[in-house]
Amino acid sequence: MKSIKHVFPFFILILTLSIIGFIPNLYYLHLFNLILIYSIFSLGLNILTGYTGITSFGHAGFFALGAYATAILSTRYGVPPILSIFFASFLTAIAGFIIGLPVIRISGIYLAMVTLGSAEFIRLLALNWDSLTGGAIGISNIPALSILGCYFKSESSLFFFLYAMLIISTFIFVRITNSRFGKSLIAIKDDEQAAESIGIPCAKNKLISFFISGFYSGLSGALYAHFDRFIHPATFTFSLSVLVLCMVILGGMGTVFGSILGAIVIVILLEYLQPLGVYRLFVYGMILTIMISYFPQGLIGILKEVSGHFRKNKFKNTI
Amino acid sequence: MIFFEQIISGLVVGSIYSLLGLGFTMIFACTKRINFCHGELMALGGFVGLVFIEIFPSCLFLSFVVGPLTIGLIAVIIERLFLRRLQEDKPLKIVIATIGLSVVLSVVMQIIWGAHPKTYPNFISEKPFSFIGVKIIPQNLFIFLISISLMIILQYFFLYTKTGRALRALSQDRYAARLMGIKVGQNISLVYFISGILAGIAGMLITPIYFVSSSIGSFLGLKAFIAAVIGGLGSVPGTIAGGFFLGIVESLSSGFISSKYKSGISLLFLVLVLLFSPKGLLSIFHKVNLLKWRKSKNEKY
Repeated sequence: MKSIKHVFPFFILILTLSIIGFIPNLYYLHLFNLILIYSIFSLGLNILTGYTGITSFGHAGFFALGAYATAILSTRYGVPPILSIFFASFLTAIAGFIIGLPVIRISGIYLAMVTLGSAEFIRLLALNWDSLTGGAIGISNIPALSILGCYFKSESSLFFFLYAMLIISTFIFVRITNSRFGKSLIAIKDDEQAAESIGIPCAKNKLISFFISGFYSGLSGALYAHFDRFIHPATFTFSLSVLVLCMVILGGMGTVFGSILGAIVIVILLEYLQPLGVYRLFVYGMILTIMISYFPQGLIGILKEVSGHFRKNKFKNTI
Repeated sequence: MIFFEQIISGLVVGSIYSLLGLGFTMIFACTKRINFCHGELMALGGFVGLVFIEIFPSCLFLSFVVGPLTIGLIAVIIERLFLRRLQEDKPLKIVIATIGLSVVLSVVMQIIWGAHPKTYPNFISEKPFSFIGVKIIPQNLFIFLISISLMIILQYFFLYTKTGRALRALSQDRYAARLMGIKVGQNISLVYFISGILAGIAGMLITPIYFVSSSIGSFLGLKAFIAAVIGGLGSVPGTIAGGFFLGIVESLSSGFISSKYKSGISLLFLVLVLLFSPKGLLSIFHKVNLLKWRKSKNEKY
């Protein structure tokens, strides 16, 4: 039952969001859809960075892989989108597993470099393999989402689909992180040698968390492809990886609600700073640096501290 | 002859890589952390050099001294403001913080100096002369010689001066060094200062050939980091060898295979080296390593 209690604030949030979703304002709906997609993406990074303690600078690569896989399958081979999305996320999960394989030998910054390198390699492939990916022009006219012949063409119908996807993936995420396996991931993050000494198979669990992370990122990438219906390599640069890392760190590493909160804040920031153009990146960089060096617990940590401040029986926690 | 010209251009690029990679290596050796905004500091060095050359047009040497010193100071300020408090924390936190800083620095450069690449006139004439049938551009020779002499000075500094010895002690065991009366915080700042100076000089050197822009920093910084890892992060000779190796491999592969996948090939090399010899190619010759990477106190047990 603890798991339900954990996601309770999250469900309230989603409820309010869906009520707002009824407002027939296309612009806000578009924003909400982006928030939902990025929430899944940042959940995907969170299991790696927040729980297992592996930092990845290459999640844009997973995102791109998911998006390209579903785009190619549905435009070239006529696979129904709902199938191609799951196929794409599964493919990305396998790719995550393969990219994560060096985890057996290396860790820390070297592993982060491998993820960065692989993301760059995927982007280069997308840019240069013209016959498959359309090169720099990208793939357009990706079919809209459809289940059994009913299409999710409008923003509002897509909103409900994405919202259902986010609830399902969050539910699974909470189940995973509250399970024995999830606890073992936190143990690995805190002290790998201690975890190994009590019999946790560190390399295996890290690999599985790479797999899960790849699945979530691929899912969000595939959803993005069907949402935007046009993808090109310039979307999936290093700055996307920084963006999603920013979401996880701003919200709070190792919390479910945190990565969703991070996605909400960053996407709204992204939209309102639109007139700044490229200079928006300045804000992300500042957020990343200041959050990590002054508030490593993220917004969730700040909120907890503030709410603890106003609690009546202040001393209860200290004893 | 094309082959030799490729190798020479590889050597020039490689000398830049190893000069930049030395900054990564020094910080890694002394603190076991990686400063990812090093590439951006280099680009900033190019821009600051541009400013100083405009201020002192007659005295090139002066701008070559003042520019890098400014970058060194900026590096120290960054270390004091953001990185000092993360020094005892997990290594990846500094990486995340410096990646954020590198994004910030590149945007700042874009705001101040605009998005277009800039350059200043060459220091020496551009006319290539031929040496045993191989064409050499004096500018490239100049870059090569300056970086080689800097590496020699650095090696001398680390091996034979008192401060260098203190830094080496720091790199072996920070706690023991503190017990011996070495001021740890001050020396870490010093390392950042020296690496900033190196980045500044590298930035000023590359400006005439590559043209400095706000985006070149992350590109060259990543390459230099790869070079340092290939050679062996934390070892000065390893980094130098890795830089030259990567430069030659890149220029040969772009000459004979395809320039499209040029950066892909270097990343592939990175992954291969990490998988099969994580401490770098030079770790095979352990005796050569002077700034040897030792296991830190916690990892002994």
